[in-house]
Amino acid sequence: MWIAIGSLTVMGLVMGGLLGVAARFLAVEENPLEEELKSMLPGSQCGQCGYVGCSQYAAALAKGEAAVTLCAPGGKVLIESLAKKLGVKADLSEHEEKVPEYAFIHEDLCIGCTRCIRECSSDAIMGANKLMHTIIIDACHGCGKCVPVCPTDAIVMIPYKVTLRNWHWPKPEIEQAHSEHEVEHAH
Amino acid sequence: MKLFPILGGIHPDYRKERTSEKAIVAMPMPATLYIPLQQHIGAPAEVLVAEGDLVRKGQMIARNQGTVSASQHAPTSGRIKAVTEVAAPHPSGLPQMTIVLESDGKDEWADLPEPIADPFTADMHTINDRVAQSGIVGMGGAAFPSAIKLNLGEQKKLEILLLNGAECEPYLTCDDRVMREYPDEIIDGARIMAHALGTPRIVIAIEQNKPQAIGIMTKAASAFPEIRVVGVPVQYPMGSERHLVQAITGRETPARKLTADLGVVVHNVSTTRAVHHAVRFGRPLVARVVTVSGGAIREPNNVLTPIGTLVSDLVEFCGGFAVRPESVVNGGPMMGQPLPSLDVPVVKGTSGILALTAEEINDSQTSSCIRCGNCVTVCPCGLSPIDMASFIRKDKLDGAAKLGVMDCFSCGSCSWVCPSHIPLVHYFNYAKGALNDLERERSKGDRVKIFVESRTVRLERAAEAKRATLAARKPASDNAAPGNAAEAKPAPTTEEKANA
Amino acid sequence: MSDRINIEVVYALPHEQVLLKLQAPQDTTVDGAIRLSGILEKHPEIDPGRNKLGIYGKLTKADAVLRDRDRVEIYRPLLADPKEVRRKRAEEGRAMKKGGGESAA
Repeated sequence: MWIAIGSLTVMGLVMGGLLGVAARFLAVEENPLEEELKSMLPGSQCGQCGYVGCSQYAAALAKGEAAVTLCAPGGKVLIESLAKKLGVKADLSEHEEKVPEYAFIHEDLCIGCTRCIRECSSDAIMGANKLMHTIIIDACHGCGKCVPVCPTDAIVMIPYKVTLRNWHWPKPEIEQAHSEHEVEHAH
Repeated sequence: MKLFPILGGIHPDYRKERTSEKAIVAMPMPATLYIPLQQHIGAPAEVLVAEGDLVRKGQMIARNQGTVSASQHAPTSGRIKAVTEVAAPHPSGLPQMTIVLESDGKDEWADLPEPIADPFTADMHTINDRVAQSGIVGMGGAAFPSAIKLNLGEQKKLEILLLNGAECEPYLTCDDRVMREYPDEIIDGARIMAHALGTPRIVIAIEQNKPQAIGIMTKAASAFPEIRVVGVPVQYPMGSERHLVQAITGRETPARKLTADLGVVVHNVSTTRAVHHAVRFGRPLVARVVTVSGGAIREPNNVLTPIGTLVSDLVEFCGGFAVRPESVVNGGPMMGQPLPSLDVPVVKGTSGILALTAEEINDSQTSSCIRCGNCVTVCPCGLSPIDMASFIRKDKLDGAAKLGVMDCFSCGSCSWVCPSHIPLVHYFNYAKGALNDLERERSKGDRVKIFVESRTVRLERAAEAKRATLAARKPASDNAAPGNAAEAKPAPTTEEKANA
Repeated sequence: MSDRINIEVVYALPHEQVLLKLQAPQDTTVDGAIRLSGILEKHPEIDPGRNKLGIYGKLTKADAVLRDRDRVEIYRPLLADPKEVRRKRAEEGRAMKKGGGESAA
């Protein structure tokens, strides 16, 4: 019996020691929180959060001045990960998950004034003075800032179409009488 | 031949006897056919015809485009009525571009490509080109363009061409019938494909609940020493490519790898037969055998169906419904998908049309999980279905992803075995789609980020140039030396930009 | 850096936008980049002599020399006559908006 106790004690000490050493030598240097938050944000500088760009929102988040729910393009996933990072509880009751959209220009109304081009933070509108303006859908992050500046209301936001390629089954709705504790000890 | 066990699996009630003894019958040509541009994994084919064009049977009417795609051919002769959007044979019922062909009743063949005289001396490209040109896709259901799979021999060292005749889904008997009625065509096609792939061996795997097919195929293969016909255990999902490879070789295909990485290429037996037709006669894939069955069908049968036939016409040919079906399923009852309407076409991947009654579906009320662990036991991928479902129910998709939900291939064994009728596989179907959405959004976000960054660089560059101009102008006005200004003006910031 | 520059060539239609990234030798011109990109084969309706060309929203001559990270843009003409649009909107009683200048500032 003493052998068992002894060997387990030795193993415990050795392994504990190893963990300690590893924690010291393999430690990842902590980035400043602000940088980390910034890297989590979409980086499209759309300004829908009310701040000038993603960096400013990240700074405000780091200081605890801004709510985690302000980034529309990031959606619920981002809200949850920001909340986790900052150790706060996200209030999702106000949050309305936005359907992804892109801007579309009605060509018969475009007068080539370039106002929308100047407004776009991702160079997603191609065109020049008195020439047709066209949205490059791949570059459009759907912030909608080009819509109000158009003098002829030629720009509309269009939700991405559900096609055979991106359709998927909805979440099953049947609410079973799953007891909650069952879920808890699943992990 | 030594076989190896596969993980998990179930033994459902097979109900194959309803059609297994029914010889294949050809249905009469419907008046109108609907040929979708996309009947396969990959990019839709590019339309080659317009409204009003006259076409003949076997004529290419849409060409494959891009790396993964398959062409479409006219299943009969007639007139193109329209190229328009028609509901797809898909649970969403969403429309897709479809060629509508009105039959002229003559069923006249077009001038087909010449048969390849001696395929066993032909170079692999000749065979692969013919397979690609003939619009052949995997006919077991996945509908992956076959020519691409035949090119694997160029990239990898392959040992075995494995013919999948397992047909492990309940009800389905189309492969069984094709094996029993056309064994020589299958074997000829297989030998041609093995030649193109460079595989020295061919293994034909058939589940042991099809003794006639095993007997007939064994006899047909006896002349060829490189071919082995193997009866594999009756165990759903034996017909899954990865599981069949494991049963034959004992090796597991790693996640996100191909069976070809283990030296095995798997093709369905009906696909092989289509290759035989393409190589020996120049005939493209314009019809397939479909099992029409289920408790609600009056005369269950195995029907040689022109591609593009409406499911409603096919059901009509089989005597219509004896009782109102609870659900009409495209494919087998385990992995098939419900059809929202009968006005959708039969496509190259349609192995079965099942009209199931409420008793056959057994859609009972869901109750609490009793933690019996059966779903974990039967999961052929070694996943833990109930834990993944718990995460998904709480919208923690990343948790489910960590447990490997993306490796689930929706065989449905977990749902089938669950005593509480929890719709486990539905959770996974939803989660896989939602995770794909997230991935698409993420990659879109990354692309937009690049645009934003390059805009930032550009604006900085412009500001820099402006400053340089201003700085140059000041001394210029002071010293009244216009030469300096002219030199500084053309924003010579190329190097700075390169560094930026 | 090397003697090659990274540039893009863009041609945009309402439902299809082609954005080609390419590496080109130094001293490549706008016209040269368009030819090099292969976009003329994909969209034969483009006529580099007739379509107006530019770099990031600024009209440019076809023989202008490109710099690293330039985006060559092939424009299409307007469909509407701006005067006509303005007149119509006035008739319908909708004023031309001043644009977002004030709100953005």
